[in-house]
Amino acid sequence: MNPEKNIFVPESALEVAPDREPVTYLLKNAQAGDRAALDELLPLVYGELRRLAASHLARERADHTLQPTALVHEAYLRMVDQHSADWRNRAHFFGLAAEMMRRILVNHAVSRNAAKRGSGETHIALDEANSFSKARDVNLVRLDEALKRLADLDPEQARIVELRFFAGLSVEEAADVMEISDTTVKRKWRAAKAWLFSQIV
Amino acid sequence: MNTERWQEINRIFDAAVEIPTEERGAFLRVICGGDDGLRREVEAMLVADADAQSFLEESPLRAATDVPTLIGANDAMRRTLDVGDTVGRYRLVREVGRGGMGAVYLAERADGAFSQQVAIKVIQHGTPTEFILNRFRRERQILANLRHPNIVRLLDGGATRDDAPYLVMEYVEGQPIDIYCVTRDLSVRDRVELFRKVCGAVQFAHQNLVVHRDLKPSNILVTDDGTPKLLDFGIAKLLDPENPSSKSEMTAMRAMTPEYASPEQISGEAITTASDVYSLAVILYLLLTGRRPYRLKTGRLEELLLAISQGDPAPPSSATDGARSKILRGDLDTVLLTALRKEPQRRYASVEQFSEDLRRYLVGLPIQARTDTFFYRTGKFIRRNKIGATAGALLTLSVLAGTGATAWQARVARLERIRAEKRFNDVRKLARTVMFDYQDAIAALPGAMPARKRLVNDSLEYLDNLAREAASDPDLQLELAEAYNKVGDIQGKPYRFNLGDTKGALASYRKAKDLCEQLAKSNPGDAGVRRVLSISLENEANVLVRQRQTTPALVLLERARDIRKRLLEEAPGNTEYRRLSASIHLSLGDCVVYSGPGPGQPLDIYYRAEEILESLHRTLPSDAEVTRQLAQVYQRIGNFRRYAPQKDLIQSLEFHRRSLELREWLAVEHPESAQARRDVADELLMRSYALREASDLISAQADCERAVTMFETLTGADPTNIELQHDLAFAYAALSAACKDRNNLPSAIQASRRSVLILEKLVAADPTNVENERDLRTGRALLAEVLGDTPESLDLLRQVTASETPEPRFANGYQALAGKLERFAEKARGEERVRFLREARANYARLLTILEPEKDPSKIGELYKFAADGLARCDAALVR
Repeated sequence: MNPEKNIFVPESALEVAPDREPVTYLLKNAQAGDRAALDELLPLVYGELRRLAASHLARERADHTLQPTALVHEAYLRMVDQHSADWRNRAHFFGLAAEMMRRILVNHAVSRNAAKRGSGETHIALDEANSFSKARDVNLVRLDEALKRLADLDPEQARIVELRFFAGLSVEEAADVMEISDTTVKRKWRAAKAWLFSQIV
Repeated sequence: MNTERWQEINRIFDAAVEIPTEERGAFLRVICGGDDGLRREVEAMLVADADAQSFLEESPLRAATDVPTLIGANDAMRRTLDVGDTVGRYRLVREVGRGGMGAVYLAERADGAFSQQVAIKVIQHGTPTEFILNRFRRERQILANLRHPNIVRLLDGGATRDDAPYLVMEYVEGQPIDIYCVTRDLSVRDRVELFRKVCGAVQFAHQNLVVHRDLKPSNILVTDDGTPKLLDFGIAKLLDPENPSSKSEMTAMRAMTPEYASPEQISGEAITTASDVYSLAVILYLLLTGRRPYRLKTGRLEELLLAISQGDPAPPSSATDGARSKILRGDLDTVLLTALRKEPQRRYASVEQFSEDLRRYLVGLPIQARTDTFFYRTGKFIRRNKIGATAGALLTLSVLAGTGATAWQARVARLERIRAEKRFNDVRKLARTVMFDYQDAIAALPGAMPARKRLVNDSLEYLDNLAREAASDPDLQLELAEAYNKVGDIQGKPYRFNLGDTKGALASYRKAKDLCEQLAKSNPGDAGVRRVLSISLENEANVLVRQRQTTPALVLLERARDIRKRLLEEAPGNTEYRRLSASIHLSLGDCVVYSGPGPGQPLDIYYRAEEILESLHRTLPSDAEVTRQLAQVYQRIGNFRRYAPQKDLIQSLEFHRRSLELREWLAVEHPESAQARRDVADELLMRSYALREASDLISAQADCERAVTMFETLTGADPTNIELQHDLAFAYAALSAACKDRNNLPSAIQASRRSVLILEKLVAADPTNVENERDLRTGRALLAEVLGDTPESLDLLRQVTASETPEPRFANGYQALAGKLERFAEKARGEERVRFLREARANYARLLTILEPEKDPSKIGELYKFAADGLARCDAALVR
């Protein structure tokens, strides 16, 4: 394209592309409690995480594992302007990303289950091949439902599960994001795990 | 299951996992009492806990190896569009641009009906979310409504076979306006004329209630024949008068281009047509000078943002030189600087006016912009007065904006008013956040007093202003009442960190009370009003009690108690009301204790508070405020049980133990809270009195020493905290008494001196504070006592008892002074001896005067006899 003769390229509707600047602004405003900014931000994060997950999975061989925490970090680096963002943005972003990862994975499980039911299968575990133990065999759909109930009882506890399990954050990282102590995260995580386990396994 | 239940389960579970498995059964039986449901819940979790070690520890992604379902069948199936494909009625000719989620193609009619080139924008990546579709629809809607020769036209839109949405637009071939001006080497005059066409298009959009918000040279293409075309209304905001709260209000501005963004865009404030005026001015500045208005050293984004929001733009004439500079100097400087003003309301009121001044310049008429006006001073005023004035000024402006406007301006005015109201509410929300959330957050922190003091002063000024404006808004008035209560707390809430401003606190609580009384007149049933009223009554009473004005305090407290009783009857079980009900009993108990011997039964009142609080504590075990109050009531019962007729030292020590346990737990749970540490130290002191009474002198002294150390640390971190100073003085006094009991007089004297010194400072700082003045007298009396028979102690006692008329509260002082004077007389000779004896006699006489009216032998018989005997002795000695 001739740089002198700029052909009309209206890009506005394409702004959902990972455009660093807006995401950083949105993040800051969402953090300041701007509901509209959050509404605008979520689909961006969701889209980018999904795209990354898909492209990673397409590249990965079966013997490779994909860590959600890597995805979340990568999404953060791609979407947020590192110069004008601070650690709060990062923490907030990770919080959002965890929520989005949960949606992505639960939707995935739902559609898989639907496909299996369609083919006459009744067992709806996520991945039988990986079911070494009862514990690892997580039914994401039921987990999601139980998590919703947990969120009604203690939103903080549900959030910890989201960050630890769906975004793959460590105890320390989750504590950072939530601005609470490591000990609190550990304590609440243990209780949440036990309760969720008793609810869905 | 509810939240409280879940908290209880968690607490028990947390404790149970810490103890050996075999002991858990017994533990649960004890802790759960008869609550089998509770026990079963926790047991189920403990069983799960043993099995759940690896549960949720492994990423769910790891197992999600089947790509197609993860990315969605649609996504995997969707192929990218290629040149030659048809979209709707168009065939793609070539790709002319590409973004992360899609592409723009040059296309032409596929049905050959007629030859027409168009631009097609398609979203290709992923399944479009509802959000993207909404955005697309919005852009379609905006463009469909805007038919203007200088605005690119929307021709069509739809979805491809794969459900990808697309827009069909007029295809424009041209150059960005800045490049166009340079390559054609246009004169200043030509540039201004071209720019005015752009203004026409923007003005047209404004009349259709659309603000562009992202005006920049690359969005203004100029075709070969010199026609500018405005592009990219994608982030435009619809100024829909029917939908003032449109969600797009704050969102689109973040997609702005910083170089052309207005200050209000940078700061995230409301964006109006004035924002487009500003961006247009930046563009004209660039067209005329080749530069943008701000000279940057580093070119970094932060520097730019700072310049836009705070810097002063250089006059265009100074941004260039030679003949060009001369042309720009004067009118064009003024026009541009007017359009570039920081405050939107100080710019041109519309793009039309901006353009009109440019026309006037072109034809040689005087321009209408003035350098500085009334609005400038208003702006200064607003900056000076921050919150309060901003809210007020915004209201004023919105009213001004509504007068004498044309039809279009009237519409804008309405929007401005809506916006101004929104701003007002924002300011109010901010104020509320500052007053309540921030205050609460910093209240218990050490060293926060100076910040809180500033907050109080600023808030009071703001609140008093707001109170005048809020006369017709009951919600706001109630909020104000709450805010006054808060301010009062910081000024002087008893036993909480405060500024020691007793008078200020009383005034604030009374303002809150008056506001509530007004509100209650028009709406006597409103629970919120009654609740806040009862709080201001209780607060005012508690300050009065500390100042020993117990009679008026009792009236207030009884009223507050009745209000709360009714509130609780109306909503039984309401936790907040129960808490308030407990609190009022605590306050009443304190008031009765301080009012001295009388008909009231403080112990019964405290027990009532204890009952309520213990039940609350069972439901809300981790609620800090409930725990704090329960500890407080335990302490009060412990204190009261030291005295006859209900003296019971075992009970007293037991209640002090409970109080200390709770307070220590709070201090551990809230390590950041200086208030919690203060409460522990306070309890140590109170317990030391009971320990001394029970003759455990070693423990008593140890408690006092620990308390003194804690208070020294606390006051060191927070020197302006008056409540803590008072505490420290009290701690030294208690330590002194404990040392005296153990006959350690040097330590007792040292501690006593510290106590007196602090109290002297407090009294000097606020001579009207009755409590401090009383405590200083007590402190001096104590120092006199531990000093023994020294001249200094004599002087101290004289100070203590100095008052015009004899007062019952100084009885012990008269007694001590008279005895001491007699002993001094024994050692003295001649005239000196006579002076001592006369003074001793006078003090025995004072003692008799105050004892005379209530000559009840059971109560004062001994003291009365002591005084009478003393007087007789002095008379006999004087005769000799």
